[in-house]
Amino acid sequence: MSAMEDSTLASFDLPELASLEEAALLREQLIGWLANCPAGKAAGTGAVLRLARADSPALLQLAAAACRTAAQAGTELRICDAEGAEIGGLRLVQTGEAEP
Amino acid sequence: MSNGPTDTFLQETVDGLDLIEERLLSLEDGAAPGVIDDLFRTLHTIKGSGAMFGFDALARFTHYFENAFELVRDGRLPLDRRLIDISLAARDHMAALLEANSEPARLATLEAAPEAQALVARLGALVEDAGLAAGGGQEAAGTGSAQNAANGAPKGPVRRFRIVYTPAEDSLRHGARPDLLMAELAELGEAEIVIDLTAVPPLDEIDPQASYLSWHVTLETAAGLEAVREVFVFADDIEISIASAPEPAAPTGDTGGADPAVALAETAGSATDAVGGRGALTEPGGTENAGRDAGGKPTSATNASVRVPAARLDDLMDQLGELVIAQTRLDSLAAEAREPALAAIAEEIDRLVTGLRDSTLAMRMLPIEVVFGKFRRVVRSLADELGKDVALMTTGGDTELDKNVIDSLTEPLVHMIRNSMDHGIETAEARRAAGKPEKATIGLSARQSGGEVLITVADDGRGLDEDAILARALDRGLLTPETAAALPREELHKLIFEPAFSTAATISSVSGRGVGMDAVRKAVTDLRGTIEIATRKGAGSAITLRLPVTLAIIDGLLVQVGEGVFVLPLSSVNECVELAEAECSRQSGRTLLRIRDEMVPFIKLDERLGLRSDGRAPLRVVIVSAEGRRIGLVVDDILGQHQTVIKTFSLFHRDVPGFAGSTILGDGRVALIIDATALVRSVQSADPHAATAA
Repeated sequence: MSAMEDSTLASFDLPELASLEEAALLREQLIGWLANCPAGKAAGTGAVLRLARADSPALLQLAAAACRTAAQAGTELRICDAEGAEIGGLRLVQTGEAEP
Repeated sequence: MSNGPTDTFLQETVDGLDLIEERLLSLEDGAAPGVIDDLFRTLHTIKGSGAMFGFDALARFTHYFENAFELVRDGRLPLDRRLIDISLAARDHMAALLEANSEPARLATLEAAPEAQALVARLGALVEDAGLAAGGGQEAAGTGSAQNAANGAPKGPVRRFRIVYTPAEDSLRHGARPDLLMAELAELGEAEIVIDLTAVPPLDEIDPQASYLSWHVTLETAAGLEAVREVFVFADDIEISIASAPEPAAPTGDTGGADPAVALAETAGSATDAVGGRGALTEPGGTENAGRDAGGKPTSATNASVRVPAARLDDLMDQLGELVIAQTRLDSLAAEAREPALAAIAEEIDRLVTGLRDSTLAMRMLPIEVVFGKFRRVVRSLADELGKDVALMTTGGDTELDKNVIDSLTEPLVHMIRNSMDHGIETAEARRAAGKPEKATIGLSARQSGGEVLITVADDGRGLDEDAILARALDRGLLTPETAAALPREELHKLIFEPAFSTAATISSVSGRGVGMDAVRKAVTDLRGTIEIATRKGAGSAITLRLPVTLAIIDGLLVQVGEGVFVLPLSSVNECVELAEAECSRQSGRTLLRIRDEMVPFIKLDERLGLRSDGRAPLRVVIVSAEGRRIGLVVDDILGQHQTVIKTFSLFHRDVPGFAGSTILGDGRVALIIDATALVRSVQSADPHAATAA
């Protein structure tokens, strides 16, 4: 079972932004979620970010920033689109390097 | 001041809409090669960029318009008057959608309006009638334009481009939508898109409204470099590089197999290296100079023109005005000091400021064609409304005027044209009976004469009806039978500019309320201009506006009256003379000046302005042109020429009759600028007999 299919992983939905101002609120929610992400931490495998809009630059960079922050904290964070398909095959591991 | 890409889009779209109107009207007179391509490209650009910048309603509607013109371009839909009518209405709707975009409720109302729905239906029907497959009409605006874009660009061999697109950090705040831009780019051909996340900081450091991403695109397309550039037409604050891409590989990362392939690249730095870093567009092969297209023409990066917000030019003009005032003070001090070194510096600064003044004023100059172009539509619509066949002929469109004068010209010219078309031009039957061609002509011309520009609206209609004007003036009490008998024809003609003066028997939707020509006079007076009328019964009329080329800085003549110093615009001064009191003659109970056997009415400024004059002899008289005749202004002294920076009056003083503003002299004193025309008019209104003095 791939990480993306593992329903036990904690997931966070990055909803579509009605305006750019909402990105700031979303960032705070993400920080809070990352700081308290029991499923990912307990499983030791990671967590999933689900993007409502896979082509939204604001969401993409928030997700990437979250991945970077999670990696620093030892949590693997993966990004998928609203249907659960992993975006671009990118997986971030603890080293922060891309793993095809 | 915001000057982001959204502002650029707005400006470009306003220009694009003007171009659409101009091109549509030119098509009626026979299409020049390339006009339809121009139209199609403009529509396509507005649609694609509109979607990118969040003008979705505009993009949606333009899509229908574009579909119709795609058929015209392909020769499948004839371009007749009906289609031009629909297209002009569609263009107006686009303008309304653009303007309403920031007001969602208004935008929704506009979109749902029956007229808008009818337009969409008519455009759709045109497409259906022409047998276009519905598929093209069902595309989503902003994302379905690939085929159109490819069609709009010259086809060539399939080539591979690699593009690195790095929006400015504040681009998202300005409304940029790189995702839509990428979608449009992808539709040009086979695209592989990798998003570089390298610059994204950790969550606690990220500014969520800033942009940290770069897009790396490998594009295989037959559309050519221009089509690729067109995608980025409004992205002028970004860094783009396109270089040769001998290998099809994306920079890094799994592209996910999507079409267009999109991938996120955490380590895409090498991609930037691979394409030679950030730079300018180059053809595949990487040999072309940055900033030049395939034909060697300069691209926008090296274009000789720069778009500058009008407010910046106004600021520059204000600062220049202050500089001119400071320089005048320096001249004054240097003259008092009698110090050669200081005088030399003052002269040098004087020369530099004069050069700077001329350059700055030249920057504000616009060809009057920008105004003339609007009237093709006005004449066309009015001709339809009035059931008259009228051609508009324009000449001198390249004559230049200050931006502020241009901005103020549209309204008076509209009134003049409406008046000509409604009152001047006869019906087809009347023209036939008079032996004239059924198709009437309105001429709109401009030419420069010294510091003035003369703009003339002429028609080949019936000419002013002097009997009707006279009857109306008597009826209104503007003239008595006695004053009417002595009134020169030119003065009679000018009565058409009186408030609420109309000879029309009925009020139409076009004119007849006597408001328009009054508005013309007010606008021209505000611009410190004058009006002349030439008319011949049965042959037509010509109304000429004489306007100063600029409103900001003028050459003035400094005169002294009592303790006060005043400026007369040099453009209104004919001559200065000294006269003995004995040269004053009495005629018809009034005193006139005799100047070389010409009797000239005069105004003693000291009496008019309530200033105590020293009554010196001989009389110093400045002869000015006002209301189409020569008037003498008696002053105490003529001090010389003065470069005059016009300071407008405050709202409280704006209506003081006889003055056009004020200026600051070299010694710091304030001098009022005399508006000779307004002064004469105010004297006439105080003493109606003065109107016949000349």
